[in-house]
Amino acid sequence: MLLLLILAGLLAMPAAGGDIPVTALRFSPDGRILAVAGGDRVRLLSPRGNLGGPALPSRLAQVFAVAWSPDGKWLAAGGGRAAVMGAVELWDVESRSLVRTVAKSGDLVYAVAFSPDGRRLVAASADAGLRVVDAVGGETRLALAGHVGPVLSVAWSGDGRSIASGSADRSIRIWNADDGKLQRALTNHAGAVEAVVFSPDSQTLYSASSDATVRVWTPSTGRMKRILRGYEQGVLALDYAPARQLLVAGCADGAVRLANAETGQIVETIPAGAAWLQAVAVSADLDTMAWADASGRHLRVRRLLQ
Amino acid sequence: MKLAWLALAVGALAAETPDFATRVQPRLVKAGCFSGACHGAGSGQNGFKLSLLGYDAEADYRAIVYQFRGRRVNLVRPEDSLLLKKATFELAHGGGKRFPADSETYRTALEWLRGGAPYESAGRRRITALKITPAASSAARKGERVALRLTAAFSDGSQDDATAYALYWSNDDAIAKVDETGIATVNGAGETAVTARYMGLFATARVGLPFAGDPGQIERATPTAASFIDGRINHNLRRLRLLPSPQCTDSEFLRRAHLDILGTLPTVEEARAFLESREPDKRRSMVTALLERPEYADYWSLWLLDLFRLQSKNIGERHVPLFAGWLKDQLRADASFAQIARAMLTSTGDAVRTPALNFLRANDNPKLLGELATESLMGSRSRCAQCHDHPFDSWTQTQYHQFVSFFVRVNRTEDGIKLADHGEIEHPKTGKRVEPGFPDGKRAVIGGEDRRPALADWLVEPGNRYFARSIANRVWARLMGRGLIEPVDDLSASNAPTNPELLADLADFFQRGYSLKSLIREIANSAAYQRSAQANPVNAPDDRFYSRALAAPLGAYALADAISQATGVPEPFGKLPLGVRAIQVADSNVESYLLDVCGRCPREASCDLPNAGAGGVRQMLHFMNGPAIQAKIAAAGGRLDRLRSQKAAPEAMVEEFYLAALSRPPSGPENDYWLSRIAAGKDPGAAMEDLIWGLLNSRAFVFNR
Repeated sequence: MLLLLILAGLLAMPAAGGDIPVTALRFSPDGRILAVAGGDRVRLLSPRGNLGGPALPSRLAQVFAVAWSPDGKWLAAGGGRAAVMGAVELWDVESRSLVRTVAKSGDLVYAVAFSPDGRRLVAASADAGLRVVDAVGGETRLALAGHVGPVLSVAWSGDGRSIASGSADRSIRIWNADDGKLQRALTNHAGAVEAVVFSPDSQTLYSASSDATVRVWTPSTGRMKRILRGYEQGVLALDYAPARQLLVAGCADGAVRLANAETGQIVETIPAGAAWLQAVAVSADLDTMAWADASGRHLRVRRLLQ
Repeated sequence: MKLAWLALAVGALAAETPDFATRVQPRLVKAGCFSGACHGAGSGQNGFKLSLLGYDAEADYRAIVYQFRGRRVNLVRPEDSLLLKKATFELAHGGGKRFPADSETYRTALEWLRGGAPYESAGRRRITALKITPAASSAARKGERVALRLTAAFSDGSQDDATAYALYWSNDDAIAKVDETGIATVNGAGETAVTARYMGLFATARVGLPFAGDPGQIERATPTAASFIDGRINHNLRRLRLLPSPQCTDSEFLRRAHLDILGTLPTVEEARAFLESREPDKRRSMVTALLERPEYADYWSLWLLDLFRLQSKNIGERHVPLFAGWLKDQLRADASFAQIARAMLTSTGDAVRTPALNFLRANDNPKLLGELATESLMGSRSRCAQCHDHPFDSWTQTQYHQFVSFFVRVNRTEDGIKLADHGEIEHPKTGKRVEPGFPDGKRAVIGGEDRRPALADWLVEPGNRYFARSIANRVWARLMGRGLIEPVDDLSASNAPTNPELLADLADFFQRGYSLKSLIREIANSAAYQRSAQANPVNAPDDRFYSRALAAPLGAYALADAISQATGVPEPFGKLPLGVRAIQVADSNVESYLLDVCGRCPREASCDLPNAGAGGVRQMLHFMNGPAIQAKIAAAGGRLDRLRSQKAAPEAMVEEFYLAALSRPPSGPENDYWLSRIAAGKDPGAAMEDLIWGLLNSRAFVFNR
């Protein structure tokens, strides 16, 4: 069944007098809630169309990233004020209360990810840094330094051992999640690395770049297995649906492209508006995906394959 | 009902909200954000790249609004946007403060952000024209200010006052300097173009201050002209109150016409005959005769060889003389210059049988070939547009690649040109194939596999704004000492001619048959060409309105020949037989220290810069102290040796050297001086050698006026 929602009420935010670009989308682990970040707020929505109440009262001037704890109880929202500060807010979803603010930095947080056990999270920042934080206590455990440009994307491997980060410096870096040591730098992209996604078995890493490619890597060796082409412009967002072996990409030409993760063949292109599409999310449980473009006018949810 | 209300509300909002493309971006360009020293640099600044002077508004919009998740704008709290914080220096900014928070630029950007930061308005308007007023202004005194007003017209019929947001520059600050608000301050007599750039379009105003000439005197000095050239020039002289210099003397004209048309000094006999002639129309007759002499084709073919940068190291040693020979044949027969260009652009096959195709063998890179064609045949510098739209011309990056597309299937072979049946050029931004097209926006209709005939058709068709104009301007510059547009390879939208009406007339005249001889004849017969180089108190500062002849140093070939001719001693050129003249040396790689010292064009790049052919200080020092002149003065078999052996009288010797070098007899004082020196000295021969040395090192000798 097609679930097509145009949530104009969400995005035509009167406070700004216009539409707010959606910067991040994430389904809760059980797929029941869709977290939508845009402007200075995070909305929690039901993918079946029921509004999930008022937005989380974030104190961040702009929110650029959201991540769910594996148990779905907490939501991390990363953002800040450009060139001034960055931070991650940890929210208790059920009570809609702020637990604590962590991973403070001197510039925006662009991406955030929980460890598989939910005890740690990593925040990627515009100041080229990555911070690994104890989610329970709030202490910063590791500072991962090495990128020379804003870090735009981050992912924690399913086995918990590695963290992958993608940067505007065109590199991907694989870090040891326990001691923070750099394991390898992958420098094959010709543009900013906008998204990184591990396969559930941690054996494969997918990266999306403004160079209009998605690349497939073996993170343990650093070997690039494949370059997936056919994206007309930069690929700004990426998520992976393991059961379908599908990569869902949000592109700078406003389209969503679904590609076979093995062959790279694009199986569907969903044209969208004129604006960039920098937020996509997949709910594996519900076999559903969501996307929103940077105009802030459209948020859509549908089954992965129709 | 609700929907209708919403639509109305959105419409009203859209009408009030400034758009990025036509309101916000021009203001940010004016603020300097898009300059080459800031974010318009090739690699941007600090990870933030904008297009140079804002030629790519869509990409700039994406960079500002979307890139890095939209960090530069804050649509919830627009006043907190990084874009504003940095530009007002509330946050540290390497580019400093670009505009204050109480400026109109700030308010416009803030309103744009408050309105949701739309790329364009609901009406989707495009700029269509730019008008500057007053188009021409004449100040009454130094220091007077002229407030220029710039109006931009858009496709939806709307107009913006763009005065405050354009970029301005003056072609000559000494005449009028323009500030960033469009106010020009007149600094001196003359007239200059003040150009405004706004959203990629250009508009030019003339701003000036008349010279101090007496109108009645100027009126008498500029009678109704028979030639369209003098009509246009005289109009300017009267308007600018510029008293022209009188007509040059017969000897000045004789030397000038010979050097300009033949690259050759008149012989002593020719000089005597011309100066003694009482024929009323002898100047006109001489011009006609000169154009039929073989030296004309020799000399003007060298100009074209330099222009087309034909070098033996590129096309092969044997092909330069073949190409030069073909050119000379065309020039001698006064073949249509359009046909010459067509042959060069479209020929295929064997270079021995079809020498014209060597033009395309100068380079095997289609981009460089395209650039060579635009520079040499269109007087236009397209090179910048390879990487970005030209900031000071109308060339877009797309048009650059469309133009290059005409040449991508041209393959240089060992001895010719072959046409490939495939080959395309991709747009560097889109990666998509670029079809052939023209820089004036006309669509190229390709008749067959060969794309080049369409290019040649377009180039020489009536109304083409590049070809006839550029060749006419180059020829004018060669004969008059300065192009109506300078530099002559920069006929850009931002480089206005000093006399646009005259350039248009010259181009029309040339286009009627593309006869180079007719064009040269028309110019050489004009009163403007035949003016004295001697300035009067009024026109001394004038260097662009042709109120006097503008002197230029002799080019390398003409100068080398002039030395040989004046001394009567030939110069060796590489392995060529002794006696071959410099203007017959087609190959720029032929060994010649003298030609190098005199500044011959190496044909590596454009030699269109003013005085590019002059040797400068190196030449001067070499002439004073080196063997180029010293060895020839008293060489056996030379002019002095011959006169000595003939036991010629000192008077005759002095006169002959003056005629040989300067095409005139010595003046009374000159004659008296040298004769007394010859008579007084213990060594009359040494005095004669001093005379020759002095003549050949004089400004009168090494200049063409």
